[in-house]
Amino acid sequence: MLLSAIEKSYILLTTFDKNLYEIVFITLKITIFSIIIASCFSIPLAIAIDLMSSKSRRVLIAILNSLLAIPTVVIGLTVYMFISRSGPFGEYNLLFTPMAVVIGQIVLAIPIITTIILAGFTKTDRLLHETLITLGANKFDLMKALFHENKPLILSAILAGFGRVIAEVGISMMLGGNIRGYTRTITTAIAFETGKGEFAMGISLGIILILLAVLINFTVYLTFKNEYILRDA
Amino acid sequence: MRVNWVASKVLITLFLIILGSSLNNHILAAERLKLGTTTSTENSGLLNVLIPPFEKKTGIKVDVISVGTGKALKLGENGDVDVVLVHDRNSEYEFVLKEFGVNRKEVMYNDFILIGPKDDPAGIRRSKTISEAFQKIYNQKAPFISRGDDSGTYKKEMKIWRTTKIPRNTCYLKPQGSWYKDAGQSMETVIFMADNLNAYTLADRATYIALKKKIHLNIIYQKDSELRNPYGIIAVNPAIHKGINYQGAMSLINWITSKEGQQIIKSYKISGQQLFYPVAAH
Amino acid sequence: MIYRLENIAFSYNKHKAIDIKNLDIEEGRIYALFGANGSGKTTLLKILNGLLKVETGYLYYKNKPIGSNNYKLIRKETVYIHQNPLLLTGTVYNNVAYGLKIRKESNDKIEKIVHEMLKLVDLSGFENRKSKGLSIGEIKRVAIARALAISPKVILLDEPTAHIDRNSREKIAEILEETKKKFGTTVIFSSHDDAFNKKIADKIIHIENGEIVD
Repeated sequence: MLLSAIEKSYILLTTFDKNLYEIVFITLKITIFSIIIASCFSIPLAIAIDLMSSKSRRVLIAILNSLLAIPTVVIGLTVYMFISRSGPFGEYNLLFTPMAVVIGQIVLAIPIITTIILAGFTKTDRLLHETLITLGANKFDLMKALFHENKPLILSAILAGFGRVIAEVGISMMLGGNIRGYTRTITTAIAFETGKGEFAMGISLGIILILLAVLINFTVYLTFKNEYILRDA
Repeated sequence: MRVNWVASKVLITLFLIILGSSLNNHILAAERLKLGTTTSTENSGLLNVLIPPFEKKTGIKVDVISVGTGKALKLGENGDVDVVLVHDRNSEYEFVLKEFGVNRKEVMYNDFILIGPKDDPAGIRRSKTISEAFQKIYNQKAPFISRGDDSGTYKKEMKIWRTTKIPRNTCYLKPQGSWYKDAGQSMETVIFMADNLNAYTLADRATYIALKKKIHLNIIYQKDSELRNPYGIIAVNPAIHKGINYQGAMSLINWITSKEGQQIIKSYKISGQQLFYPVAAH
Repeated sequence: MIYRLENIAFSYNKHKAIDIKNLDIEEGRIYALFGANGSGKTTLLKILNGLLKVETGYLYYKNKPIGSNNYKLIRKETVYIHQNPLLLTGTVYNNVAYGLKIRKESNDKIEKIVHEMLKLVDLSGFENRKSKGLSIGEIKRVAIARALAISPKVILLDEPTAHIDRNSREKIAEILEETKKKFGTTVIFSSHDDAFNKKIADKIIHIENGEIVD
């Protein structure tokens, strides 16, 4: 059974099966959008927290770290209650749309991206702070410089967030509803196809997910590697 | 340099707008209708042949959210779907009685079957009624996997246990013991579990036929009038929540119960076997 | 007199780093802080720039007492340069221009000053070099050019002669003397290079365990 499933999945992948690639396309569309929006919140948030006094910074980092531990199904459930027609935002008709998945994924991604950026900041940037302050920089100049000087770090944080979000299933399933051609993403499709005993489709999607993960991690590795070369020089 | 930066900002914003609007674009492009239904109708492939002609005819995109009967009705109650296609008469009547739904129509039926290991270790093949078959399973403590959720199949299973003579709990009847496993999973998963554990389980025929080639289990008992499994379709009451697509729901109900719709149901076959029997009177 | 310090003390985690009874710094002269590692030279320099805030005692800048409400005054008119200065990613030009850019100076003026400063530190033609590939001696000189670009009254340097070769050391000595002569800038630096101190400093301040010894 395993071998025949792998064989079938090879065929699905190489013949560019329409259903398969539609799922991949939808997944990328939703995830990229979520991550861009999440980054728009996370990057300024991380920079702002980094510039706070050490006491409030520690409190906020502790809060963000505990947010990291929240399971995706709990995020899904919480967002669900807000956007269900019987919830406070029911009138916007969001539940079981790609936008619903995007909202859930943004909530998931913000603490991840923010904490990774912050962890990178604390290692290097006391020197940068002092240098800029002594040259007359105000808070806003500092924020701009923190962004410019940490582009590789920020990029790798975004990619790490992307990797986490594209692999989650709880939020996509609960808020998207696994609607074919609309909200069926790689992970919900794997759950669905495996449930039906269609292992070939599940394996094909799993392979694509793994390839994406490898690609992302490799990019992260390369950006960090360049970063180290830069600092050593 | 400066111009490039501005240009790239404009490009990124444009990209975001296009991407964002393409996510939900069908909302702008077409009317959408959310159908809450059970896994048996989607996974058997019936909806894949029943829905596209409707979409083509009306221009309405149907979003199929397949869950258990109980969950589907709950989605209807909250107004999160516009129409439900489910299979548990008692809950359906209750749904309409509580005014969560209107215009209930009978659509089709198939039947439940008791499936189990080929050699039938509990010796229940020759039972006269399904009640007797269940009694034997209980007496022999033969492994049995239950859906254990809120699905139509589970409700049917509970109904059957209630007809047996097994000791009753005060609140509701539910067999106890390590032979009886509450899976809390979909029909497919439960069938695969039963297959791997050599256990009995109650399944709907459509799902069983769809999976038949992948499992070793056989039909052990079938064709008791008690095992009939009727499906009904109900529009969600537009008076309860804002934004319910009632018109779309009614078009879908009319389509599924129309001559054409019923014909599609009748002629849908997997490996030569008919899965559903249309009943809508026209 | 540009600085006056009275009974200034500062400590890290209860470990006393600085304890200065009395110190006057006069305008337009070069001062060398001389002492062993950990004697408190860096702490003193940072206090003079306002990067560290005085805990006890009084700090006067141009006869005005500096307290929590007017740190901006010394921050605005003084610049501190780290022992291993950090250059921003990008070109040498952008580094030297940084302080002027955040002061919203006109592009013409920025260009003129940057060229002038790079000439002063003997790095003319380095405008478009990336900060990444520079040697430590060059980095230190770019940092000095960047600091001088904003025309500070006082320039504070932490170990400008550390980790560099003799050639660069002589260049830096020339730059600091030129700075004093040309702009009348007060220069205060720390160093444990005795020869260097004697060569360019108008006055050498000995520091031991955070205290000034004569």
